[in-house]
Amino acid sequence: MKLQFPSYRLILEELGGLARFTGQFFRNWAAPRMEIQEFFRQCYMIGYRSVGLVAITGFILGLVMTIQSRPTMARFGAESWIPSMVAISIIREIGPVITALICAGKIGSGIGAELGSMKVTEQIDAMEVSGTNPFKYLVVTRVWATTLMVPVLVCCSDTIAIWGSYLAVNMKNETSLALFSQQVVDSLSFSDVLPAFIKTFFFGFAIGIVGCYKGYTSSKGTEGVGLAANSAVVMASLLVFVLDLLAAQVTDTLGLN
Amino acid sequence: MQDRTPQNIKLGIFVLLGLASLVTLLYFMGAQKNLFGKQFPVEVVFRNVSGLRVGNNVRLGGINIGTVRKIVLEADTAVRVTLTVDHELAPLIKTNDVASLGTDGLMGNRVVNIEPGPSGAPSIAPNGVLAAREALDMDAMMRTLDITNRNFARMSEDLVQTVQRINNSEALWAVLEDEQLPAHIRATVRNIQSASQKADLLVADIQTVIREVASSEQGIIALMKDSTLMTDLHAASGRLRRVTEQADSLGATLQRAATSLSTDLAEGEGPLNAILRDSSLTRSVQRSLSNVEKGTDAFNLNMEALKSHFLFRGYFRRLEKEARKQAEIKE
Repeated sequence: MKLQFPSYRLILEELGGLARFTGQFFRNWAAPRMEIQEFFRQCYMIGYRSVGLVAITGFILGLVMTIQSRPTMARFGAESWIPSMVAISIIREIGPVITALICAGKIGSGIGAELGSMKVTEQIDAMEVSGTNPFKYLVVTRVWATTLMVPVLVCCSDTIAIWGSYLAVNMKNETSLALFSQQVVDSLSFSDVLPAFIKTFFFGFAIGIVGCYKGYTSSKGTEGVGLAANSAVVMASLLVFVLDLLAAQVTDTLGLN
Repeated sequence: MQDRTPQNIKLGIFVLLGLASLVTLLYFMGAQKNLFGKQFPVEVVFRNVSGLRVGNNVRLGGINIGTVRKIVLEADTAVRVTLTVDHELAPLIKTNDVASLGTDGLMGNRVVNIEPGPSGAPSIAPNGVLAAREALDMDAMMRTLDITNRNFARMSEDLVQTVQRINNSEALWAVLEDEQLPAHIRATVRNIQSASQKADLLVADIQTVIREVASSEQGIIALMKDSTLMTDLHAASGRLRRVTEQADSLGATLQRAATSLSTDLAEGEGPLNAILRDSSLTRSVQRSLSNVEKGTDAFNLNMEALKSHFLFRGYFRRLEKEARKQAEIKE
């Protein structure tokens, strides 16, 4: 029990710190002097620079899901349902979550390490001295960038995953692109696409805010930078799953399933 | 600023591609559900919609032409379903078409099928109400299937008994195992064939006869059409019947007489018995007959003498002359 108390306290402490940090973000997100250029630079770094990784992940995801589900579907004589099944799985759940986890690993750790190193090298303090609002310049721009870029990355990932699925379907059978697209579109409804798209904004926000919080509040020198990057990935990944659970509950409650 | 322009362009392309993929997907989904373009509302009142949901497809001739827009429970036995179909295809829906509920595949979503009625009806107006054909009730089907199963069970029991009786029938197996039977059957069939050939020939002959009779003016048909013939035949048969009756009665009389005679002979009574058994009477009769014969010879001599007498000679010559004349006329 004595061992568990500090960890329990640590979790609460982390949650409290994150809540305060989030509050600080909302106090600063629409403050005057918008750092537009920095925002676009962050969008480029976070969004564009992650496309390759996300595209490869998405492609393999669609390919593997189709290959893995084929034997089971074939056993039930339902191979023609593979496009529908894979499309629903990818767009509703797997595409957003996997892409968010990839982003948590790449972007969350990057932000945590970058801000952590700036913190420990007292660059943030120097910005404050120079009259620049470091929170607005560093945190608000990054959080906005992740919030807006992760959904775009998920769209790209989903699209490429469905292409991967089309390739996998054609590896053993022959299905025209028109028929495949028709089956995908037929199987999807707005209640599949829109809630999945909306929750990716929350995933992006969680990745950005956790990365920035961990980096912005890091300490203990260079050791703290690594710790910040590591804990940012862990916490962002965990938050992605928690948010996914909440999203599933909300969509279920609203009858959007 | 300048070195960031290419970054911004790449970022713009990336964001555009990402959003374009989303918008394209949403557009095609919307087009699939007829969200774009002019819509045409049609209504159907079902008794039971069996799990139909808003957004389910509407099909005409097996092709999706619209979706279910609204489902309202109006009464405990009336569910008003509003369908929206493509405005361009709406003229194909006629007022006498029938809407029914179906399933997309074996376990798929419910769909509303519009089936065409007899041709010649006008196109339906906006918000027009189509007739509904109720979906097959699964419970009713199962009940019917249960009855069918029981009947099948009963039939199979009967079949088992029948097969057992066939297996236990020695007569049937003796027939089946008789090796001579096929040869006999073949011979019978040959005989039947031969008989039928002969029958054919016979029929041909009859036809020929009938044709000949039909072609002759005084044929048998004319004879059969003669109504007096039947009357005559009837009268003749009546006479024949009377003659037969008389012959019967005559026979009976003769029988009685014969019986009486035989009785008389056997019992030795009556005049016949006396005549037949009296030997003296027999002799006297014989003598009488001998005398009669002698008398007849004498009479013949007298007649010859008479012919030669001059008084009667002319009479006998005239008779001979007339006889010769008759013979000449005959010749």
